[in-house]
Amino acid sequence: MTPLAGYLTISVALFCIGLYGLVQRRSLIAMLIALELMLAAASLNVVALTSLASGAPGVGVVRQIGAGHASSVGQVVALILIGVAAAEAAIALSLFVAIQRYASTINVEDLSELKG
Amino acid sequence: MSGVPLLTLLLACPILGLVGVLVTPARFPGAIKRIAAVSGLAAVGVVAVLWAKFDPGRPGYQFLELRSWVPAFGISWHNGVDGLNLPLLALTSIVYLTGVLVTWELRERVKEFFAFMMLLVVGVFGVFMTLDLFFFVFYYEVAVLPMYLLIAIWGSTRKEYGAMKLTLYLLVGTALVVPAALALYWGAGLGSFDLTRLAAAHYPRNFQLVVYPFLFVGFGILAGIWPLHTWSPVGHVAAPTAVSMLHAGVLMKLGAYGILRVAMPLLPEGAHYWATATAVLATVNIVYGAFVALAQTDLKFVIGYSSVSHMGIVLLGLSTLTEAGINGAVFQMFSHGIMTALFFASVGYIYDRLHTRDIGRLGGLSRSMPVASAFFIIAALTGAGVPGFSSFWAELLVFLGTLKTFPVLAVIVVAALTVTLAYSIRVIVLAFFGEPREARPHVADMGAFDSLPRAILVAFLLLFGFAPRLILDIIEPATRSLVRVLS
Amino acid sequence: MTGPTLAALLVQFAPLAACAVVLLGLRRRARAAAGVAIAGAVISFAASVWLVAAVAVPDRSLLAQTVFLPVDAAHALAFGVLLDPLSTAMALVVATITLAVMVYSTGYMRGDPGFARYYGFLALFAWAMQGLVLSANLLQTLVFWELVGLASFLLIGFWFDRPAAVAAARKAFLMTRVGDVGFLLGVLLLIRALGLATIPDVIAAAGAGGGLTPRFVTVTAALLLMGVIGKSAQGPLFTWLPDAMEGPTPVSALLHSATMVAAGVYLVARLHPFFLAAPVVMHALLYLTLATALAAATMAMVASDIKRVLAYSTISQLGYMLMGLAVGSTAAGFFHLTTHAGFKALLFLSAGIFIHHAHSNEMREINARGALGQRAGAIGLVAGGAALAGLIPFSGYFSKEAILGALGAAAGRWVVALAYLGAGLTAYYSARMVFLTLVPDDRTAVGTRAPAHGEAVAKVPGAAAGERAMDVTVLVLAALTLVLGYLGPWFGARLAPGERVHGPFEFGLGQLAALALVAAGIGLAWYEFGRRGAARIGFAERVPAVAAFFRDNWYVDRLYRATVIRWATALSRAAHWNDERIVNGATDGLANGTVGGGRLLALVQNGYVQAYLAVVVTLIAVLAAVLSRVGGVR
Repeated sequence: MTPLAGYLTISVALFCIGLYGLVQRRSLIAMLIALELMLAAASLNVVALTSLASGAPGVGVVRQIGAGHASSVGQVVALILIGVAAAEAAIALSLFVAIQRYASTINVEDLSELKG
Repeated sequence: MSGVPLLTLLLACPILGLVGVLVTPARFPGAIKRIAAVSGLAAVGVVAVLWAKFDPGRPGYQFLELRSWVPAFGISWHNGVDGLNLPLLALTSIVYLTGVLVTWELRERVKEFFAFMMLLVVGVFGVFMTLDLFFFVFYYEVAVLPMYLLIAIWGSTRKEYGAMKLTLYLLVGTALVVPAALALYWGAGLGSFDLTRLAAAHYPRNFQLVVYPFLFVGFGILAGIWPLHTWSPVGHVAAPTAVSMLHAGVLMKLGAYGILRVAMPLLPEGAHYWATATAVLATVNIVYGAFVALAQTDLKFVIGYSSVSHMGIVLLGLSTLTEAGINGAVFQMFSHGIMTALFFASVGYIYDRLHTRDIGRLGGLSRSMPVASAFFIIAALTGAGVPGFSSFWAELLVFLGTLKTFPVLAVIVVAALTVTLAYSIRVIVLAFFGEPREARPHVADMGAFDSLPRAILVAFLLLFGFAPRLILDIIEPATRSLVRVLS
Repeated sequence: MTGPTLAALLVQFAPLAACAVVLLGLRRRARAAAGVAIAGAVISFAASVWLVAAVAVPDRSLLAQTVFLPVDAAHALAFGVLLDPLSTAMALVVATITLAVMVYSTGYMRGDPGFARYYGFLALFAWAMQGLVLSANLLQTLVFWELVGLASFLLIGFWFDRPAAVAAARKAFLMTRVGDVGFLLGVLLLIRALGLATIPDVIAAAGAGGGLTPRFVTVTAALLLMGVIGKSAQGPLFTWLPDAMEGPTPVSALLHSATMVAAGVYLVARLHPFFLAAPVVMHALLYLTLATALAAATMAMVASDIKRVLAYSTISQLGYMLMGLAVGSTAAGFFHLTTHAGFKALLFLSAGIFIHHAHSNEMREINARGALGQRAGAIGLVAGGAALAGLIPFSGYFSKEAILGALGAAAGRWVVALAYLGAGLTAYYSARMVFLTLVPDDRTAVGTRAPAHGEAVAKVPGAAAGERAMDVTVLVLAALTLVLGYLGPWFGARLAPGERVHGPFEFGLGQLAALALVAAGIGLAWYEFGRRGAARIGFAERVPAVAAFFRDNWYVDRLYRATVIRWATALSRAAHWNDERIVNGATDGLANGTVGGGRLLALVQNGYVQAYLAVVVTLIAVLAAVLSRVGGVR
């Protein structure tokens, strides 16, 4: 197993755990954490794959930025993703507070107002 | 021809009225009603000028207004008048004015009511005057949509149900008409929506046979064609008085007019091919409507089904494709519009006072409110085809035309006159004669102001009943050229 | 426009103007309303007298018309007036009776809350009837034909809060409309075939070489006759007329005996050559009217209501007129129409005096209240009864002789025999009526003979003048019964130049036989009703089943109730049900189905975000698996 495969395996495992948590947990906060896990898996993927791409120039976005700096592009994207995740968490948490105030619960089973 | 675009002016009457009503604050209901009345009066005035200046002897359309609007699609502002739509414009203006006058006592949401009513009238005037297929369909929708709100907000018995039913049916009609109209547009290949140009195009026979039923049924729904008629009585019953008047008096004519103005001249072969089928349907309308009316207990339902029956006469007249029949059909459209407006105007007065329209609970009204009853009885007698009122001549002409083309149907329809008389007399006898069947408060009879709009309607019934030539001389040349196209 | 045309217009439109003025402006002013209406009637009467002098006496015939109704490019219907001895004489008859009834009604209807409306409707009727009589076009005839039907409806139902009157009005309108369907179809057929319906042209077209096939003429004549049968209450459509007696008595005199119901007879006379071109139809008419005349006579024999007796006798006499026309004698039929108008109006108006006085239509009741006290009424009833019975020298004798003579000349032996039998029955029931009403019943207690006090005999101001008007009218009409009979030869000369008409006092076998039968009828009636100590029960009334059968209009009404009316009601209920359940049910079902389907689909939306997510992920996984297997992604 190449090192890359190892990264990817971990990423998949993280993603699956996150997905499982997202589907399984009933608390919105737990779901948010699970979502963060999935995001982290995605970031890991990006970093791992761009490090691979630095050895094989001429693929997609990387080429436009510059073949030599491909791995650093991956790291930049990962950083942006972390920033986005933080913002997302902030928004989500504030929504949860609003929901808590409105419905006195953040259990998704009780929040089924979209029922037809 | 004078430089004044009279038809646009006519359309401007309700539009300006609408604007006037919208800018008037809702806390001045009196002012709003006056604006509406002035707008109605102005419309009647413009139509009177049209009628006076109209020259029946000249072929084709008069008072033409033609401005290109969207040249890319061949849409133009094209209005004109001939013998077929002049009576209908007159009818609309009369019913509009009298409708405003009978609604004088309205208290609830006055501003919105008159605004919607004027929007409706804009649509109706537009349909009757336009010679552009695009605008035809456009106005058609404009006329239909306010109906829903007018009934659902100001209506009475089961108003939401009635309003929804009416709207859905009419939309089904639209769903048939719009594709057919587009087919006409593309089929002609002229890149023009102009009806006068489309009429000159010749469509292939198979095209005509397929498209004609779409138009006939689509427009026919609005004319109350059997078995797609049930929206009409339900809608009549639910609607407030003035809306019933416009609905039965004018709106149902839109459908028949659509057949007359779009379907028949553009698709003559289709009209010939389907004539027997449509005539049979129309006969079912007449007979069936009369029988159902005989079993009704609500005054407005009786009128509603009588409208179904009478509109059957219009459709039958159109289906004969003869001059006499079409003359009669156009005359009947006018006459039925006035008559049924009178019907609803008198029933509205009675319902507003007694809060019931159940024949079983009324009785003896001629004693307590003789004037109001007299108006209803006159309308009922007109409907029963008593000569001296205009409907008699209209029906007679339709019968003559039918006898030429469909003798068997003519016999059936003439025999059905007994049923027509039976339901009219039944209502008169049960609701207006005899003794009151239950105690009811003393209510005032119609005063002079309430009588005025009804008297106007009666005057028209009598005028054209005694002198049918006044209107037939206008209709006849237009019909003649239409029949020439058809044959 | 010539003088006669103007006069003809005046005859028609003076009453119309009066009607408009009364109904629109004088609803609350009874005296003025009566004044205006009577003024209209006087003008109409004067103009019709002038018309007779200007047209009928010199035996002219003229037609004035103008285009009224354009039908299509090629055809237009012209309306106008057709003036000849027949129409002008009829116009005079109508105008006379109308005037008499209007004058009479000032007394009879005094104090009625609808007094002005009554005069308005009478004037409406006068206009419609004159229009019918003078019309030049069959369609025009039809128009006025319907309008007299309308006036009849309004006048029968004049007391519209009485259920019986209202029911009678409704029945009359509907039943005559059944006949009018045929009339309308006939006229439409003629217009279709000829492009016009002007009466002289129609007649000409039916003649030899006129362009209409005999079959067409037969069919059309039969259809037109349906209208006649309805309006003149013949054959199966007679039952509305007895019920129509629920209207005010002067109305019965004017519409339902003298003029309106005679419109059918007039129409046959008007189109006589046309009808004669359809011999089959005329034969059928002969048998139908003979049967009607006899049946109605039997009903008159058992009726106890004086107005119903008169109504049945009207039906019977109309049958005689039509029999005369059916065998081809215009003069005899129309002659009888004229004399009948005079004496039947007289009878009704006399009966009205009694009814006004006794507040009852029952002959025994009237008698008990002292009928003989009403001098003018008694004179009128006797004179009218004698004329109806066919006693010489009253007018009815001469005209009935003319009809029987025409029948004898043209009809089969049995028909003639039955017609003579009918004449005997007529004499019997007329005499029965007179005896029952006038001869005091010595078995009733004396005390009841004074006018009832409990009843509202409230003296309205001016009642005496009103009663005088009634008496004078009756006496004038009574005098007329002695005069009208001598018009026979004049009618013969004017209406049927080739026809031989008996002189008034020519006695052959037929006349003697008729007089003998009349004497026998009166004798029988005297034996049963008139002599001192008579049982006052007729021979027909002794058998209850027969009496009930006769009294109940030969069960014709029951038959209608059991069949036509029931079927029509069932049909309308079925149509209503169908509309409610099937047609409406289908659309409502469609609408509900759409809404329900939406509801069903909406169940999938359970509102659990995680469930949606699971579905999404699963689907993506499945899609990915499938695509990678198929190789859709490269």
